[in-house]
Amino acid sequence: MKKQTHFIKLKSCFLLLFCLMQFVSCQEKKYDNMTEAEKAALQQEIYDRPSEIWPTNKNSSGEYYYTVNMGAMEGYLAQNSGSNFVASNESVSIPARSFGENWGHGTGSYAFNDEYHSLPKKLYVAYFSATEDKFYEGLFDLPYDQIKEEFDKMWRAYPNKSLYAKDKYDRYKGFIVGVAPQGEIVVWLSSFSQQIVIGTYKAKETLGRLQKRQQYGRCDTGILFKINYQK
Amino acid sequence: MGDVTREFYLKSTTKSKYPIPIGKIEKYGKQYHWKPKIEYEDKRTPEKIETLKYYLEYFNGGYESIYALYEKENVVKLRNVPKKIIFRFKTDEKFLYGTGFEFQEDDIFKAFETLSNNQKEELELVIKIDEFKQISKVLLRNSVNEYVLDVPIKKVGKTDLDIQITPLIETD
Repeated sequence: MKKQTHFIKLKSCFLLLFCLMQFVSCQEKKYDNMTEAEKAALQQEIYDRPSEIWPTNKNSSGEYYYTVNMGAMEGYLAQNSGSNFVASNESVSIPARSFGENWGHGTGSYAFNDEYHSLPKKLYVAYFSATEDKFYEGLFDLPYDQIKEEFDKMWRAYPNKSLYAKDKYDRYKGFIVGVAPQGEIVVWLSSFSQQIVIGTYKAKETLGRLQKRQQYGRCDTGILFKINYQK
Repeated sequence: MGDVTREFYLKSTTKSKYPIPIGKIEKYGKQYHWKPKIEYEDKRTPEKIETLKYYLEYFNGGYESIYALYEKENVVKLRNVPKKIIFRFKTDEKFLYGTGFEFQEDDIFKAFETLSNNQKEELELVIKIDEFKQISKVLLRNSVNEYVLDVPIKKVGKTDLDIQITPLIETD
């Protein structure tokens, strides 16, 4: 009896396999019977189809992959003093030191903190301006919903003929903070092919509070602490 | 840390070669309704220009790439004042042409302010190409007037078109 059951199982398995093969061959036949125009259209459709495997910008916890960086406007010399993005469960620090003078670009040739983080809800900015001989500080609310919406977008990049999905699609993957005279702050969302302003803010001149923060030595702020302390 | 005084730090800081940019954020934040366009200086030229790409870098630090794929999206819309423009186009199936240039800040802002009529007018930023494939003129125009921008005459680069690669399809 047991043997018979086993035989039935085996038989149904073969039957299923046969059906599957038929189905696959039908699919092939369908492609072969297509006209050249239909084949070309199908090829284009496959080529244009976003890859579901890559590129993704989220990990299994729903955190996004992004970089953070900071720079200054041409003609404005400034040094970071512990600026960071405030995400729901962590601070994503911006360990740039002296800002490069290139508006819209970060400092240095590489991006900092390129890891998975939850999207930031606030931005804390603290810096010393050598041009103005002033410290600035500010804590700002970021447009979280807009940032999320932008991070979930993906678009076709330059229509190169690459076979790799990662070269064909682009999406926002970085935050850049720019500082300008009188505490003016601009935040951009950055990608390979597009960069947009998501907010402009105004930091306030400050004297005392930075000293406290810098005692914890976030990012090479020892010099600033000393400078501030000894005035 | 060492004994760095604030005075010493300020003295030791290298001075910037640029002037101090006060009040630039508001100026750079201004937006106008415009779109870029490439056209022949002589309208009778039989060849047709097919734009492949515009890369627009704005004074406000943003940038945008408009690809041939999205050419239909290259409509007049609110954009910032451009600082730099790079473009690619083709006229036949053999060659690709392209180059880029930067605008003079005061000149381009003056052009937009003059022609936009309080940001209401729709504008076109036109790159004129002559018969020798040179940029002969760059101008901003509205429905009535035009403003010729101070951009040097420059030859447009020429290169072979990329080899087409057919995407792989698994059929078996």
